[in-house]
Amino acid sequence: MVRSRIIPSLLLKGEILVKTVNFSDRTIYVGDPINAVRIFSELKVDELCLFDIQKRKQGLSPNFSLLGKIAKNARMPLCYGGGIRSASDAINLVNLGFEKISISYSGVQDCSVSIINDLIDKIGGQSVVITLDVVRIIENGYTLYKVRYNNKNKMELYDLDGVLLILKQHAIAEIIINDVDREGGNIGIDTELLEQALKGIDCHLTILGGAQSHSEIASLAQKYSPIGIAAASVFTFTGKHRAVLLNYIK
Amino acid sequence: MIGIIDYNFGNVSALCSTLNELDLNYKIISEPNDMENISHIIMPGVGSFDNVIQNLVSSGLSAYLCQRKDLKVLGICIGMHILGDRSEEGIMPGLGILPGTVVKLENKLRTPHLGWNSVKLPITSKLFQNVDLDDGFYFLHNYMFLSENKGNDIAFTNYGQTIVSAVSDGRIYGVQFHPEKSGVNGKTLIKNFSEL
Amino acid sequence: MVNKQIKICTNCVMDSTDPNIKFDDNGLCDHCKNYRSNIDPLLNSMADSPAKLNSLISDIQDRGRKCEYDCILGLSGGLDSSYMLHMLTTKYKLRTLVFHVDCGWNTERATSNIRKMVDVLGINLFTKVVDWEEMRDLQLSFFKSGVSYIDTPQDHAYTATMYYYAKKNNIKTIINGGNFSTEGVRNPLDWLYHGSDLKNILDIYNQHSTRKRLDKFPLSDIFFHKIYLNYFKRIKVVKPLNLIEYNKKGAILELSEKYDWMPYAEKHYESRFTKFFEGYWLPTRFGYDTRKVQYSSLILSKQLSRRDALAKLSHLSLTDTEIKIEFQYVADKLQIDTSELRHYLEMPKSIYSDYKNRAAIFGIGSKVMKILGLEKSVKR
Repeated sequence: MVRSRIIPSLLLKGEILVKTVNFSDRTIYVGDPINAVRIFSELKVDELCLFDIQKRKQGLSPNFSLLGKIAKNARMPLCYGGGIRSASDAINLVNLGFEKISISYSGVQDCSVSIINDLIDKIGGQSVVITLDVVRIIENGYTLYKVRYNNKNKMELYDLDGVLLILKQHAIAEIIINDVDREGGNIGIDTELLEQALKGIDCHLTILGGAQSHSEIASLAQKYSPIGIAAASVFTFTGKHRAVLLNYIK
Repeated sequence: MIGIIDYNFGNVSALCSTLNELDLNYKIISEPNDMENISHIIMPGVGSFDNVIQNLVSSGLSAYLCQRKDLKVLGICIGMHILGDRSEEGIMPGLGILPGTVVKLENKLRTPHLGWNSVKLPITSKLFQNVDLDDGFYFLHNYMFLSENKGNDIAFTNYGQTIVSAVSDGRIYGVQFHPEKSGVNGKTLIKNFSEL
Repeated sequence: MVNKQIKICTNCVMDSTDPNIKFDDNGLCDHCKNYRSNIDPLLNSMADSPAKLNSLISDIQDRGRKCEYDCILGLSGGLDSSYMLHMLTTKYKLRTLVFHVDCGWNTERATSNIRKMVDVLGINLFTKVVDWEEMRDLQLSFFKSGVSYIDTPQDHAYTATMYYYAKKNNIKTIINGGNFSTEGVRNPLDWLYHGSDLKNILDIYNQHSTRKRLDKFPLSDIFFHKIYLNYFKRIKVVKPLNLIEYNKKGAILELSEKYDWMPYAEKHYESRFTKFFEGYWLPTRFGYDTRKVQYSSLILSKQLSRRDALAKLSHLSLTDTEIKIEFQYVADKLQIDTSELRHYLEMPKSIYSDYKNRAAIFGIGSKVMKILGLEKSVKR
């Protein structure tokens, strides 16, 4: 049986890595992505996710030259997301060494839902990942999970279950739930969100956002196996001063 | 020398890096003229069946590889699938150099078969020497290879059903997993292949 | 590798690739002579070291009493600084501000060693991540300059960051992991010119940079720091490893037992760039092998035999495969192709005086330090 995957997640801004909190503009400088990915490869991580946080906003394509150099040093599977607008972007990335290509729900909405089948057709469904930025709203005393779409500075919210139902019709490999509210917060992964998402999909799930510690990650990985647990802060920082020191679970 | 087939659908870069680390000489093969001095070839692959076959046919490599009965071949994932006769994933015929068909995985568990899984060998195989079988390899696929000759099945993996994770007729090898992205085990397997 | 007639010292392994080396009639070099005159006596009088050490620790604690930290230590992940951290925390129980500088070239081993130690010791580490785009530009400028000391950007960033944290936190004592046991012989200046000569660094940068913008890079003016901090802010630099029985094998064993600390193939190899620079670039381009300095130090402190040292020196410390991989890696990180990097490897050589510098002043300062007995090993 497959094991759970524990996945460091890195954010690319321009040509360097940063860490954000709650997707805000405030960023912590993490440094060179080429060396970081090499270190994680030598730490023998299960997989690694790399998201470019500017490309979609700027309307730019992925930085293929830099990504090729980054991927060269990875002996583990890689997933990349950020600025993918066409199947040819995806093909380029696969050829550079990325096993999985992620397009956000916002990206899907930008292009139209037909991009999903386009990607599946050209690179195979096993390599297509959809990332959902999830937030919470309170309605009548209930906490509801919503998928966020930044539509030209206007925020649109979609019901999570509704989005998952639509995505179920496509033979994609994986959904990554990006818990926006808990991002960088180290307050723990939301297991209710995790469970709700698992119920709504046939493909694989990875949850990202809020992880507090190696032991929490290990415990959730075991409880919900097989599942993907992704984390950024936990694998990037150490100590109360949040010193940058890349690390991984043993 | 090792030839890595470049048919525009593969992780050529990761394979090149691995071969560099192993200090093995290799060449990228785009067409039959590139095949001088090549004793082993690796067929990488992330992509869809028909697109890969189409590419091989256009380059002339499809016909060429079917003729060369002396080459040691390692097909990875889709590179393994195209060794067979046909696939449920597409409409084009495969290379047919390792009899078998490619079928979709059963829907027992979440698809695709994604992640690190262990591998079992019914009998020892030089390809898997020094590999930690429990640690296994990284899998990422929706379809799997069914050999016509079950004697060619040399490794199995469990994912809701028994998946043939490696096949071989002694000269041609196919692995369902991605050794170029399977850390130490993958590097060991590629080294073993180069020494066959 | 440079293959002229090279004369090797009969006692250590320093040789005439050090252009200023002098041999006496017995073939003994001036590095050995200096060690025997100035350093051996210190190491041989270790009997009163425990008392001196206790006194030093008390002094550090006294001076740090009103501050949040007694002292500051830079942790590169290398043996000396790791062992120093181990001693400061577990034996001397000093409240230490521990910082690490990430210049974009950390090895996984260094990162893991640091992590293991901070986890076990419960240290709240500070990390300064140097702006990578500026670092790359500065490093590329050094390659283009043709000089031998292209690792200066990393070294300088470390020193500047240390002074930054020391000033910011009003720390009175800087702990330096330097020691006679493994560093009794110093790198010749012709090999590695002063990394603290800011004038030299800036001239190299201004002449060869493409970005011409070094806003975030940690820079330190040596005059300001050595003079102002030392005499006006009364910040002292101490080297506690000189007051204990410090030997390489013993230190590695102790750290591996306590922290699962893993050693490096050679000194300074905690940085991937330094490994490339000292293991391949410097010997290949200039014929300077810093291992000769390190092994000579170990020979003089009786931790290595001359025969074993010569055997190791008969080949580069990196295999051909490693060299190929690291060469490509350095080119990729610098965003140039390997042919451009090869051009820098083969281009005409430059020396520090081809650029503006404060060598004369450094020279005077060094002589004064020696006369005052503040500096025992020769940096020349």
